[in-house]
Amino acid sequence: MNADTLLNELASLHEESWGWVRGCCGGQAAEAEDVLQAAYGKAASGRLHHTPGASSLRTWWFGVLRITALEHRRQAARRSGLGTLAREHWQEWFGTPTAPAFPVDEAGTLRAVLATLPRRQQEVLQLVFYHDLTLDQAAAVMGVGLGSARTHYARAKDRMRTLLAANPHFSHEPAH
Amino acid sequence: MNPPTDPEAGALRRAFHSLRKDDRLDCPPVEPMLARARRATAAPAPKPGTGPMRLLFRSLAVTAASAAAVLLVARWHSPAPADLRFVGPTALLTPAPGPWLDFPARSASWSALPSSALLSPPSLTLFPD
Repeated sequence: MNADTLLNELASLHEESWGWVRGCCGGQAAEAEDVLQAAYGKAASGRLHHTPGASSLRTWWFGVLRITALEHRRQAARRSGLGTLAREHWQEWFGTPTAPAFPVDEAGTLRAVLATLPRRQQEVLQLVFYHDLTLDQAAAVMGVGLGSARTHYARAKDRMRTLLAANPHFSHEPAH
Repeated sequence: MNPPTDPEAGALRRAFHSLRKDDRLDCPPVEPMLARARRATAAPAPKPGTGPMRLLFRSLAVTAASAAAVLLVARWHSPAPADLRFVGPTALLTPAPGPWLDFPARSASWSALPSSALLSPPSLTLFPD
């Protein structure tokens, strides 16, 4: 599959890719757009090769997006290491410098709650409940074994159940 | 437990559905992004001498300049005779004469040296008449 064909196929996954990248970037839309653009750049350069037998295009592409987001976050952290450190110390010593923006809608609340989970747990929840992947596929995207993905899934689900139950935006009871 | 058959997952699925709707609203259009990616790939490669190589050469030049400065300062602080210090680059490159040039060959030990020999500035007279 050449780069142009690959890009055309990836275009059909654009909306899902956007949701996944946004989740990988902690809900930050601007950062997610940069990451998605960088991933399309990789695909256009011909450096990426998808082997159809090994995994589905979506699973493979989600793995690429996840790694690109991690690279992007690492670079950003390296660039602003001192700034982040100063901000953390500022918050620790003097409290929050600006008033925190409380989300007023359900999606915003869910993002805020998700952000309190460890990264792997956020990933597995998003892959399973947002993108309707099986745990096998989620494990492949995350680059972990199935057992590990199951553990992350169970812990994340327990944690989310507690957090969402305590939140007025999610007053509906879980289906039994 | 496989998620689709998980009975406890209903609330989470509904919650993520709202997130999906929210994401769909501010999803950037795909065509401009793909066009940018294609354009970036078609752009010419950077000229040689720019980017990492330029950085390398610049850091080499800075290293060489600082090494030269250190050598110069070290040479000026060496126990060279005063009349040789400011005569020019040739003198700067010659090794600094040490106080041992003044030592009389017949001195058997350090204690035999006159104290003036240690305190007086060294001279370059290697073979006195």
